[in-house]
Amino acid sequence: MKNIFSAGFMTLLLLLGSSSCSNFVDGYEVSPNSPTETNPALLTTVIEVATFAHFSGQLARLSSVMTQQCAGTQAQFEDIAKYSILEGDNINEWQSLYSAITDCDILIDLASESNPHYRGIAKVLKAMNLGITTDSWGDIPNREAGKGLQGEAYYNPAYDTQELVYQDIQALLSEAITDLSKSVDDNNIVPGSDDLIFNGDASKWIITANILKARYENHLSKRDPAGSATRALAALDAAYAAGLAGADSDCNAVFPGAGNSLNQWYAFNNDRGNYIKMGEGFVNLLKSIDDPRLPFYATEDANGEYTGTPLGSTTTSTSDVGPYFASATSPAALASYVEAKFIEAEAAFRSNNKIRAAAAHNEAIQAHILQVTGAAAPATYVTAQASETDATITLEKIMTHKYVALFTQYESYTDWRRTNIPQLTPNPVGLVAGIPRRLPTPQEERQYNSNAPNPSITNILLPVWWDQ
Amino acid sequence: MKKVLLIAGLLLMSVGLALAQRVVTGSVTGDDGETLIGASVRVPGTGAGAVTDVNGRYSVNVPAGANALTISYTGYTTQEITLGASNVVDVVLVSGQVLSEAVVTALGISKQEKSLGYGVTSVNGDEVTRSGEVNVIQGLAAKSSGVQVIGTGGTPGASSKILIRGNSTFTGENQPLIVIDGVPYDNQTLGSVASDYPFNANLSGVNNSNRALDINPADVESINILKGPAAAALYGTRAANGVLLITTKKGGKGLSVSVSSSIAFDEVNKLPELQKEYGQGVGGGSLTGADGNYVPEVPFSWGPRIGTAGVPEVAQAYDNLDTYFDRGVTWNNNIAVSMGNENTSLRLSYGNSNQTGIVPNTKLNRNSFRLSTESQFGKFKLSGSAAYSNTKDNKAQNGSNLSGVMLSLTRMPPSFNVAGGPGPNGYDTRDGLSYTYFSAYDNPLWSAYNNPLTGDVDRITGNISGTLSLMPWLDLTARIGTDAYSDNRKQIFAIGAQDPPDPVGEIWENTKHHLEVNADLFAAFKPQMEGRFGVSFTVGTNLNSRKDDDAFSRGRNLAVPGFYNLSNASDLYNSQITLVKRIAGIFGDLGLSYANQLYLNFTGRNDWASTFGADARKKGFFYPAANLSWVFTEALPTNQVLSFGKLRLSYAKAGIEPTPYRTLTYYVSPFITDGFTNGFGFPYGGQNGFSLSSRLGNLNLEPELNTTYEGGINLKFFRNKIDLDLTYYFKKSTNLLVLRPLAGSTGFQDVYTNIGAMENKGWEIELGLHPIATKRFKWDIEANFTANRNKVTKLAEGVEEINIETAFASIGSFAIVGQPYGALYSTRWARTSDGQLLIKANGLPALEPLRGNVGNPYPDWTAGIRNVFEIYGVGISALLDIRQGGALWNGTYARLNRFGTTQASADRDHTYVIEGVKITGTDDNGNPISDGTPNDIEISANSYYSNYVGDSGAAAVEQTVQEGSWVRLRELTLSYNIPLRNRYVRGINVFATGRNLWLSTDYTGVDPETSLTGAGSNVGGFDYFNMPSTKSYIVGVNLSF
Repeated sequence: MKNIFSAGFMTLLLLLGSSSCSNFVDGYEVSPNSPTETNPALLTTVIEVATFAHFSGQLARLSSVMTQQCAGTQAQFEDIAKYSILEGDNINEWQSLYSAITDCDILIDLASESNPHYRGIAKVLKAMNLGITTDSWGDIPNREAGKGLQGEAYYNPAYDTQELVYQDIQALLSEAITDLSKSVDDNNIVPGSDDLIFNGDASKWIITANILKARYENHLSKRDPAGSATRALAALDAAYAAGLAGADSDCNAVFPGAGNSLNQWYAFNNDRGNYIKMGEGFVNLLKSIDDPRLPFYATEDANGEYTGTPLGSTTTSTSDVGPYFASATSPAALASYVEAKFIEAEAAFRSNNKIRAAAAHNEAIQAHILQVTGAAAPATYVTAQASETDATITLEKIMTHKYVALFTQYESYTDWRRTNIPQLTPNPVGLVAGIPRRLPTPQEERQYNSNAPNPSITNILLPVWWDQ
Repeated sequence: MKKVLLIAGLLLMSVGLALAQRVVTGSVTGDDGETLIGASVRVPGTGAGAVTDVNGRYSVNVPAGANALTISYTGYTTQEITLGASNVVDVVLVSGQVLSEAVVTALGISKQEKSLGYGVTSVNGDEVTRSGEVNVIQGLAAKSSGVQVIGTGGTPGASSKILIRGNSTFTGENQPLIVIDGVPYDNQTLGSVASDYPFNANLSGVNNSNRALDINPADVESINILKGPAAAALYGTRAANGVLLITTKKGGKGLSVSVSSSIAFDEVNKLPELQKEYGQGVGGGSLTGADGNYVPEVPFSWGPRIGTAGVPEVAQAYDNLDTYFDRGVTWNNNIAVSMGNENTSLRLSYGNSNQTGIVPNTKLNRNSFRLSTESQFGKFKLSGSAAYSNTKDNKAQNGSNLSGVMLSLTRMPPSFNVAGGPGPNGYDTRDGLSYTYFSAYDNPLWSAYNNPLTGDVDRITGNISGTLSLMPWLDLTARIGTDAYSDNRKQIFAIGAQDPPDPVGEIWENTKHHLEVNADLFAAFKPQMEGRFGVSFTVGTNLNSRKDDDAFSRGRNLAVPGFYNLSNASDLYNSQITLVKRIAGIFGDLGLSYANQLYLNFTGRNDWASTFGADARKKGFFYPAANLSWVFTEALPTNQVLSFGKLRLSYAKAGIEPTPYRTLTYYVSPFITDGFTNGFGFPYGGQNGFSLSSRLGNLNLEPELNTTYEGGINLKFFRNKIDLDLTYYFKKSTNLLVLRPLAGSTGFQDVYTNIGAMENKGWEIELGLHPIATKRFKWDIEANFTANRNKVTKLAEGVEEINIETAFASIGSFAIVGQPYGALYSTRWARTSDGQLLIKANGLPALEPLRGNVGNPYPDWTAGIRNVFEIYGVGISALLDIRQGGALWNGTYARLNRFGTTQASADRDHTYVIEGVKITGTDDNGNPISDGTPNDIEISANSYYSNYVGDSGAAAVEQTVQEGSWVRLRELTLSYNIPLRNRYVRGINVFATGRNLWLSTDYTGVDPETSLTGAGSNVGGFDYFNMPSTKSYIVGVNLSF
């Protein structure tokens, strides 16, 4: 009897031990502290804010120093001004860009067919982030990128050629326009205040998508001068048809101005005062044409003057970036009417339609002065700078004024690389023989991605594909 | 596995047993030759027993099936004897507190010490209480080989960390499991941290408590320290780092009452030496800045000499350290009632510890109750215990903290009087704000009174255990235990306090709940074997569930000064964290013995843990252990030299499950920053945001593995007068969880992966000497020695170093392949091949371009030596504690040199020349080289103390990494048993103890037994304005009735 009891006990013990052990531990795997799901609205806000950081943060500062709109005068920016740009310097930007691109893919999936407006916005934002990534690093992972979630097979994303990335950007934008053109009724949910940029207004996203199509077509000016011009103008025509008529449809980074939502030029000047000052050449350019935007572009220095730091100098007694760009809540342009007009001028000029080029050029300048100063451009200024005709318009004039208007924007760096306008002298104390034309392969790609260029690209004078 | 167990079990049950009751007789004597009268002889597991007569002889009826005797006598070590064929058993009991023969091992099973094939040290409860430490863990310091105890400072409730045989994981728990009466006892050290706090909270804040603080040392009968993972099979994964098996005191026969009371006076034992010759100001004895303006509002003491005519600000020097620190008082009062008869015993105790600290307004009050009972109803034994404790404390700000006590106090210029303010309390201004010499720091007195963290912990633990002796050879045991506490904390920062981001006042309400339930069910077979072979077998199952909740609310910007309620704050923040872990396991333990000399033990356990992905969770993980003990003296002829000799060999493996919630990838509210600005956070303009975390979850996580090989020898010479125990171990930790970095283009930054490895190897020596043992004079020496070497052997591919826990920008604690875990990592001086400094044209040494390993915070070796004398009933016990090596970053010293408050920096009337050679060129790689010209470039004292032995950017941090070696008299106890015995009083013992009375060290800061990061952190070796430690004078009395 006792033996039977014991045997029963043993059996019970072992049964308890094996089958119920795994039951006992099931169901506690998921953290109650963080969600495993998100929704399109929460993702959209994050991606937009990340995009603000990418287009108005470190890459914008770097661009301004490369194009000599600004001067790097202290600490890391003294190094950047000397073209000391090393593999470890832009890991942050690289990670943040791919994090946003990954979030865009998730949003595209999550929005799906049922919510084409969200999906369209995700595609526009993905195209923008891919654009600034490839324009900085050339060939980059795209088709295999951002898929770490799918497992170890995607831990080493392959690099796509820039040409292919550009095709994908255009495809994304075309798909986005199709998605955004669907009626509100074709969506289960539509974006609203979570869309910090346009509050869910799909028509403005369509305009932006078309401006971006024009921008990225126009970037190919060296590779395919005629075709790129034709396609850029076609995209702009589509933008006008979609309602592009002025700054009210500008795609801007917006900064509510609280501690965690400050304009990044403002925050940078606060936290890193004197790292970056106005560039002497740029200030002198504005002075030479008596530009009414100067007080908005630059602060007064200690002597009440507008001055810039000379190339190669680290003087910090000069002007800072001014209030139009660097106030706590100043918006930063991501894709604007003014940019569209300059693209139109350049592309029309390249298509030998100089009448259209001159008109677009004149309109771009006057629209920007009105936007910045709040007043129409003075008549003398208009006469001198914004009264071009088919006979007087030159690429030099268009690109120089675009260089002025797109102050602090990354596009200035791309434009300079494509057109070499304005002509810039490299920093005489620079560590490389010329102005850098790209960023080096990020260190962690070298270390952790077996598909990264081998050897790493460290020559920052090596032009990217569209710059060749 | 299942089948094997079942078959083994059935086989064992079919062993036929038929033995009649028999009578065993014999004598009991002490090893000092004394006849022991009234010694207890019991047959365990039965009610049978007897006592020895006036001749020390006994006669006991041993029921059928029983095969052992337990013989005990006060003042002698209890012995368990396995009965053989003979019916005459003479027993010699060993006197004094030498290693006990019977050791409680896993699951509360008592085993003969000689049968154990792995290292165990037993520490008597009295040794802990006599140390005067309120915290049981701190009371273990220097008392066992293989064990390192690291205190954090002398404030009430400050945590003590315990490591056995070094660190063995990067991200998990490195401290041993505590088990009280068979039930796991939580010993977490938890900080109060908001989820939006971006830095390492261990570097600032208060000295948090490790929760073993809730144990009343007076309830502890003994602590058995299982050093290897040998017990892991029976206690599960947490035992991989060893186990502290605490056995509490139990009731005995009859009624007895014991009362003990002690009072301790605590004083600061060591402080940085500060100068009193120069007052506040900058540079060159001038009270004026570069612009010629008077600048008293600087944190520097590079001003005019004290007493300089015409400078009233520096008229006098103040001894602010002396003003600041109080004499702490600790009262310990305990009462315990024990009662019982043949079948039932019960013990009820109450203890109170009431402590005031050396830092004003710091205190601790612990009330603890414990009830334990054991009853035998025929073949059924029921035991249980319940304990309740309440621990309240007041803590002060510490470390890298603008409200920190030591930061503000030691930076204070001697010309400033910490208590010289115009306000009512002396440390305040007329409007009650902090009276300070520099606006960014709080007055340290004001901070202690205005920025305390108050804690209030209610804790209930309990267990019920029933054992049915179904057969003489079969015990079935079921046990369930629980450990639950709530920890309610409130941190206040008065308006004006500098530690919060803005001095607008701040309140934290932090509530933590811990609940652990542990259930065991096991069967122990101990069949009576004919002949010289013995076998025992235990099989069981264990379920364990743990839950930790943390709710944190913060209110900023207080309206009404001095009113500390969240309703008074205009800026509120909440965060909440819940962690749940469940583990289930089955285990088996097979013991074989031969001829009372050869013991072989096998254990195995399969665990299932909730923290794995589905596949691994279903499968579970198995880990085996085996150990062998050979008492080779049994095979030798009896001789006068070697009384006992035993060889041990052990192999043990333990698996460790991951911490919760690492299998999935979650959505988080991100911070987006490029590192130049504070960037963007959410809600952004009122819009919330959640995106995918950059840290990938891993569904394929595996257990970390910890494999220990151990060999040892125990030799006793000359009738146990010399007792030597030597152990060598090699511990290999593999499959360690490491955050494997990913290329950013994957969309992620890292993923948890099982790829790291490290190893520990070391020697442990315990030596007991009992040269003199007469009735009037006794002398015992007990010594222990430990040397552990740790090396990180593998990190993720492409990863050469891991920052274990973010520390300071200037110095961190890293895991680097080929280096010891936790190596301090910072800037270094550039040196010539023969080690000389390379001096630049400005007279300062050049720095290496890259940071590197500058010290190992773990000691080369440690030793504890206790001498015990007993002369005519007066006992004297002295415990010497030696630590060799163990680097500490003396960040306090570096900063104070630069600020000009160290005594060294008062030597400033002349220039300095740093010893080294001048740089005369560069090599092909651009590194500086020298032709060997000795440096003769003079630099100012200010530059010397800022840029060389200070912490300006020009100084290499390695300069202030110092050896933390020490020799200390950790305890000195004098005790006397008053020879008064009557019907009512059974014993009176009075004692006086001095704690840390003497300390010898070259360390230039506070007591080098210090840790900024405390027991809640896996890093150590940082001293940045750490609280000082204490020495104590304790007197007490123990009465038993």
